[in-house]
Amino acid sequence: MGYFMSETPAINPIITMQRLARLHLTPEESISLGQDLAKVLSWVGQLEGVCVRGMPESQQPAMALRQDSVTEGDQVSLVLGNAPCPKDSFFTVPKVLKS
Amino acid sequence: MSSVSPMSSAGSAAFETVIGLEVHAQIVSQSKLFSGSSSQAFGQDPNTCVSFLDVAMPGMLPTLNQECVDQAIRLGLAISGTISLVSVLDRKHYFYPDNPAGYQISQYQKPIVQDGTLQILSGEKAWKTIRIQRIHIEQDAGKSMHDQDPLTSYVDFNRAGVGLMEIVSHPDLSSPEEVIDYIKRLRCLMRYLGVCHGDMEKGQLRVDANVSVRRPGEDLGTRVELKNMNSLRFLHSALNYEINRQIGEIEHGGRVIQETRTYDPASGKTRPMRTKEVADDYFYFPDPDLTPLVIDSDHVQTIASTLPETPWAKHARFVQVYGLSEYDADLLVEDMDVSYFFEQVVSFLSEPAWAKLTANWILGELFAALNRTNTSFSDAHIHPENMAALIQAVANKKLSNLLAKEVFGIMFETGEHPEKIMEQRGLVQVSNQEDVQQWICTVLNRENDNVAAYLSGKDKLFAFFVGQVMKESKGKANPQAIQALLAESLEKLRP
Amino acid sequence: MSPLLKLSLDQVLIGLQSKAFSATELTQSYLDQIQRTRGHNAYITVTTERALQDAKRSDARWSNGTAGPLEGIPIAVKDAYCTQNILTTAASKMLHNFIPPYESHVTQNLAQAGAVLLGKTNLDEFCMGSTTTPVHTGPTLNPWDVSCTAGGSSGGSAAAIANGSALLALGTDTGGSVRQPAAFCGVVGVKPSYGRCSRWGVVAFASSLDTPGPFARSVKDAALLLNVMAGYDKKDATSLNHPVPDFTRRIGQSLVGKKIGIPKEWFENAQMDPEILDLWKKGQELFEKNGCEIVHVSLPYSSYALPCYYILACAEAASNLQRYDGVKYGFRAKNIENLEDMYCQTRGQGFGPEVKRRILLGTYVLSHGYYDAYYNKAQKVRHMIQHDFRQVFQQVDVLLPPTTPTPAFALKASVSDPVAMYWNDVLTVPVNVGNVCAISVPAGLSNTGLPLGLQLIAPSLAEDRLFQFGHIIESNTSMPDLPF
Repeated sequence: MGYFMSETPAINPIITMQRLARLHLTPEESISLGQDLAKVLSWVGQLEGVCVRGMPESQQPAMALRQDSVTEGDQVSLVLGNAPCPKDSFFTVPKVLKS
Repeated sequence: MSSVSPMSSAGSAAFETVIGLEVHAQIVSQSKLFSGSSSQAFGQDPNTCVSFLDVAMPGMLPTLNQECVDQAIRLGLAISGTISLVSVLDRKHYFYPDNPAGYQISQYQKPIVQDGTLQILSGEKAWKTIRIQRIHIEQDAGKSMHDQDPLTSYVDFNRAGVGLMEIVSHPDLSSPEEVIDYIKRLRCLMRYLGVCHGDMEKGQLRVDANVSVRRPGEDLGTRVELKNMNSLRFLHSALNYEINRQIGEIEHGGRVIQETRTYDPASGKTRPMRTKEVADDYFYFPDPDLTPLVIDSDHVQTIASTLPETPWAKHARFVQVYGLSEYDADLLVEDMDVSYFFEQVVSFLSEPAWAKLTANWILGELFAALNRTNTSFSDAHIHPENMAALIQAVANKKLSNLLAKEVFGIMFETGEHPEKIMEQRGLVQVSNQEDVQQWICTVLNRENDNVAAYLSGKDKLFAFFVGQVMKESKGKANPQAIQALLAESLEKLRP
Repeated sequence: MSPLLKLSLDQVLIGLQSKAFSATELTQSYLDQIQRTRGHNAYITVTTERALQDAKRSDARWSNGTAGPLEGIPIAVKDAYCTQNILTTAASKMLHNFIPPYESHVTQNLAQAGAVLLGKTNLDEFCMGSTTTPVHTGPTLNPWDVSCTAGGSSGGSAAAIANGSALLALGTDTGGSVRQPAAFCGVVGVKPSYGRCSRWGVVAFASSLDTPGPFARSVKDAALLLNVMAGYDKKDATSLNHPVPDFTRRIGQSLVGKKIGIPKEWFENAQMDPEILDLWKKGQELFEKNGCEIVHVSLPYSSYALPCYYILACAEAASNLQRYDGVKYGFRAKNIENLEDMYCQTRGQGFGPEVKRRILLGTYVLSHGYYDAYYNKAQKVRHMIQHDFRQVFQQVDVLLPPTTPTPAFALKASVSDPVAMYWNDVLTVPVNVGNVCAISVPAGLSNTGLPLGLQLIAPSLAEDRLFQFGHIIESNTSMPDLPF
């Protein structure tokens, strides 16, 4: 990392994050959310100074596994029931590139 | 039984090839990795093998399938890998229609199996160890289809959530031939273990390759990732093309660009895949809907003790117990059903020494018949008892090789017992002197000129006479009997 | 307004059993009250037909002696629980038309126990916020003072209890989303132990923190509701496989000799209103009078609970919300050029500002290069906070902080600084991050007549202590009637 967490990055990260999260923002939103993001990042950055040496092990219980058997299926109408653009038992989406 | 037809090998003496493979193997199980819908969805109507989790509906939660975990343990043990008694399931994020949750549950830093090896045959004789870096379990994606409509893609989630094992090798492979051998052996192993069916046409086994070249002694060259090679033949072609392309690039003073390329079967070439605008970050982090996967070491022991025989264990046994050659053992072992058939046949024989003969007949006549009629072994129903009876007859000299081939042909087609065939069509080898002598006389009487030629020194004609007698007897004459009597008969004709 | 509305849960069950009134009558009274109080905007969807169907079924069960523990009891459910064939929106445009084909595990439990579903209540979008001011379904008003917030994110459920339009209600608590609105609305709200109630079928916000929890008018009612909500669910891998006790079992037991912990750092750092500090002091005196010992304890890492929470919760939220992409269900933007456009426009238009804020933050803290410094570090700090709680509970039986640093604030009070807004959760968030359980009990009024709540915190799986100690606050505090 090139800078400490407690410093807000010189370049507003909002553009990159917006692209990665596939969130279209209006120019106004970009500005205001960008400012918010910077403020919050600066604030949560206080964790940088927290010492966590001698950390105890996590106490999560071991996961219970599921028996291998078919318990669900054959419910096309339920699966597609909320689809925005269903067609012939398929979900449809626009293509990656405009034809 | 198809094999990859040998193509001109890629490369040049001035360059080394370095290849690493990522193999995605669909796990054999009833239900999917994290949901209770069927994982045997190939060929089913769209979206019929889909649970609400498989389309990532709000509030749905994953539960890990015990059998899928056990399958990964089986494979891990068979490649002498280390089973991680604690491993973590991570989310790998990216946006694509066939990825319903916008993330795939996979394993990042703590996979279920670490390290391992697979032996391959490099060239014809030399065994080479390929190191396997890791095996992890992850969800398969759904299927997007782009050809139905010019403006829209169709999405089917039948395959979404099926369990996959991703097997990552170290970049220890040095040629397309080694890659093919590795894939074949890996697939064979997985079939023996029952963990993956490995049918590439059905998408049960997919291979991505990382390929680079370098001059000997230099640092590793730039890696190119190759995708979309969905048969062994395409894999071989793609690798050949890519290696030559990279060498060509460097030799002309250019650079190899790090990129992902896809194979185009129509042209036989690789080309760059569409580059994305923003390099995706996968945002790996442990899935908070799950807790760490903890495996009991006793459980691993139980699995180890019930592991099916691996192909190489069987191979070693065939060589040791049955005295087969390494090469023959290799060929028999490649298909589990064939090797099982072999042992069944041998179990019916009264002499274990006839195992070699059995191997010859399976690898020879039987495979030839399968090839000729374009039948797979599993479709041809040959009874091991029948096969054993035939072998027995050959070994006991009741049948000459020639006759036996004829009997075999009929047996292959009709499934009848060889003795019945021999009886009904009189295909018994004749060894009695009278009959043989009769045929010899008929031939020699007919071949006056050749007899004269033989008697005046053309010794090679002896074989010709043997052949003629065999023909005259419609293959029934015992060749050894012919030999003895023929020599005598010819001598008698010397003036 | 029907007098039936004033009956407590116990009284209702007795009344139904003795046929003093029918479940249908009772349900109709509540439906009428919902209409009467619709200005508060507590409900997104009123399920009139379903409610009356449920009531009819309950009447039949009371008749043939097969009544369940909550037979005929009218319940409001936060619109984050998927209810089969009933619109479930999470107060978001993204799910504006989503009809789940499945029933959440907890609401299924409720139906089996005989509860009557009145409707789905308002919340902050995708459970993110502490004010219940979603863009898509509008704000919920505080029944005590309609110019004030009802709190959030489960504000609709809290308001429904407070304005008499439900007898019991369900919420979810991720960072205080049950307790804080409970305090603001003068009702009882519980955050059970994580994993105590199944998350299967609950629209996910932050998977490692989300906890379904009950709202009620009294401590005992809340315990009775929790009895039905709780229980192991194998469909949820984080569900606790522990038997469910009767959570009312310790109510009324003596507290003599019990130790009450006062967290030092929260006192020093929470920047509480003087009224709240006063309430706290009174609370401590109350327990001392009942034979308890007050012990000052330290939870050193809890000062970092709030930033820790925001990193973890936003990261998990960003991840959980990646599924909202317009492909399989819910909103899809119109006039889109191609796939990428569909994603960006759908998510840009479908999500409100707070959700976007949290997705952006979550994306950042998970991104390559920042993961270790933010997410990974926050996980470690979380473990330290959990450790702090384990240590402290070896010294005391429960902790006693207030629930919120202030009473309910004005809806119009515009807070432009998100960090200042997050400060509302400073006293509730450590409980979620610390993996312990807590209850908020109404304990007094502010000098403007707004309710104030005191919180009790107990170790994981010790919810019965919450009800035992909470009952003492309740019986020793004279709160006015709820505003209906």
